[in-house]
Amino acid sequence: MTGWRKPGALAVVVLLSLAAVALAASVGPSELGLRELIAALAGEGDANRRTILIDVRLARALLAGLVGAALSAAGCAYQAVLRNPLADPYILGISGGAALGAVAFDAVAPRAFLEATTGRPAAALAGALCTLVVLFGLTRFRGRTETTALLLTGVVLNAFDSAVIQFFVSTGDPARFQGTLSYLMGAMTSPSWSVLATLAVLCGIGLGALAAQARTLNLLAVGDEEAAQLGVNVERSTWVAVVAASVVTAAAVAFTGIVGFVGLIVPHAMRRLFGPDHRLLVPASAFAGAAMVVLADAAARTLLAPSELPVGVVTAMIGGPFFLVLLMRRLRES
Amino acid sequence: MCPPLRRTLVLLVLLTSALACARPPSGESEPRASPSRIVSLTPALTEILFAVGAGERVVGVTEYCDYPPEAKTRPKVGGYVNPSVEAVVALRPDLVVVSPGPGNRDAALAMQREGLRVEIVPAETLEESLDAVESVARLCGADERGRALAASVRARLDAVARSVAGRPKVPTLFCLQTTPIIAAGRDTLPAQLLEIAGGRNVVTEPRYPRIGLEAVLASKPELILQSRMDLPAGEAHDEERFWSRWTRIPAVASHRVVVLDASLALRPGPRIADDAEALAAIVHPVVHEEPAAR
Repeated sequence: MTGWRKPGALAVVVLLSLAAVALAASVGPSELGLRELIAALAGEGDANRRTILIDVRLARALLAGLVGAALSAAGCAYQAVLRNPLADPYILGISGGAALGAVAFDAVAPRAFLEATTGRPAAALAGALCTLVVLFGLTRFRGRTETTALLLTGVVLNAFDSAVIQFFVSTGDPARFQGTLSYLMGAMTSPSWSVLATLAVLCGIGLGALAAQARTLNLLAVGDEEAAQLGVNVERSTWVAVVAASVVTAAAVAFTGIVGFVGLIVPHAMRRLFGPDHRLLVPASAFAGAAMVVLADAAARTLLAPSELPVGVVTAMIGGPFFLVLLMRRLRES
Repeated sequence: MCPPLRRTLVLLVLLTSALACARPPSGESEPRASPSRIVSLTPALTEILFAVGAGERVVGVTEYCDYPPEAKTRPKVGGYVNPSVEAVVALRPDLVVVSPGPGNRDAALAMQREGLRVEIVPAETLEESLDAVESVARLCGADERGRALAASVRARLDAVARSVAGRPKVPTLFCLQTTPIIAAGRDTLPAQLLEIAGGRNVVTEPRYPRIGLEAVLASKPELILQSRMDLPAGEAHDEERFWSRWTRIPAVASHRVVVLDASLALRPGPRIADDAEALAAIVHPVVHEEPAAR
């Protein structure tokens, strides 16, 4: 693709993600469709329908969209900075820290004082941000950060966090952790509008920072030395990208647990469509990731309706085979 | 580790396993004396043991066996899902009773391999609970008391059903946790007790499905029973706040979200009659005062 075609393709991806939200808000166990959705948005129809269509379905679709955009753009940034095609939003231990925060909350938090619906995400966010601080403290030597050190530290932090989680879960009352475990498998809920606004602000800042860094990401993806020769402050740029990607990942994990594969496969697929330029790749990944999680969650809600699947199960079932196909194609081409 | 030592260890292990194999299996044919040292690996079965008068002979329980209070004084053999084989063997029980549960299968099999008499007593649904009362009693030689207890539980359940007969069935959601929402489905113990108490479960899926808010809104429950397995009674519940957002649910609009005491209607065993009575008082609170409707 050349010239105006790529921006055109980006517009298509944006439209697709909007269509995905509309579709997700039009399907569900109570047989209300697009027509009712439009009426509800116009303030018509009975109040019960409006609650289902707007507060339950639309809010949830928007949550899924934000989470998908966050994870996918974060994955794209990590892959560039770490120069590792297998990097995903969880690779630096951010998810492990969030999960640990959530489990620790459920294990020890005084119940009367924080509620699980907001307290657990807050604890998860705190856990993820602590991980980021630890990561920063451990991997910076004499003002420099080796990306290999970053990667290895992240992997070890994840493993360590999961060991501590196992400790909490195996020594505590299993009934206490039932909610936690399903939450960690990817629990999309219908968020309150204030939760949605919080997430939107966090994602807006993080994604904005990543988009603004797009040119630098192009250079970092080639190599630290090459980037430095071209006048990039490698240390600073690396951390701006890592912090921005980690904040959006932390926010996503905090509210919906771990939704796998999105941050891995969407940037790969978009790279095939848009090439390696992050000025297109970051926004394209964000919107395509949004579309993927919105659709996956719609499937999770409706496939076995009125029972629900964890959304992480759906993304993994689509993502796993899809990634293998991408990989095989690439191997055959090279 | 130096090689000779390792060889000795291997030899030791082989020898002990050979010994274990040589031990005669606890044959089905030989007549059994009434057990005198009983270990229970399931809270419901512990309750039954005490209720049929075998409490004195219970020498080991799980950490979750908290009823009757006396059960808490017995040595603990680990959790419900991960009982310690060693702790059980060390108690030298002549009977181990266990309900199939998540994760206790391997431990129960290991105890059997150690030559212990392990009896598996399913106790999940209402009927299983009643059967369990009789079969646990039979296992410890208290057949008569078991039959009497089961009969009295059954009679009390019938009385509850009669007391609400003719009342409109209250559409009810029996919710176990809120993020995500997990509810008691068809043919589960909570649903069965709810129906005896004059409610109608709005969840028609089997077992304990994870359901969405939309399904709850669409099924229009007039009562939400919110349970928390992990909390003792009286502790603050944030679930009330979770539901308070959804004022379109009839139960929320009419302030009929009731937080249940921990484990109410969730634990199979002889107390299910108490549970049914407590549920009936919640589902039809004014059953005696209300003037005959219309």
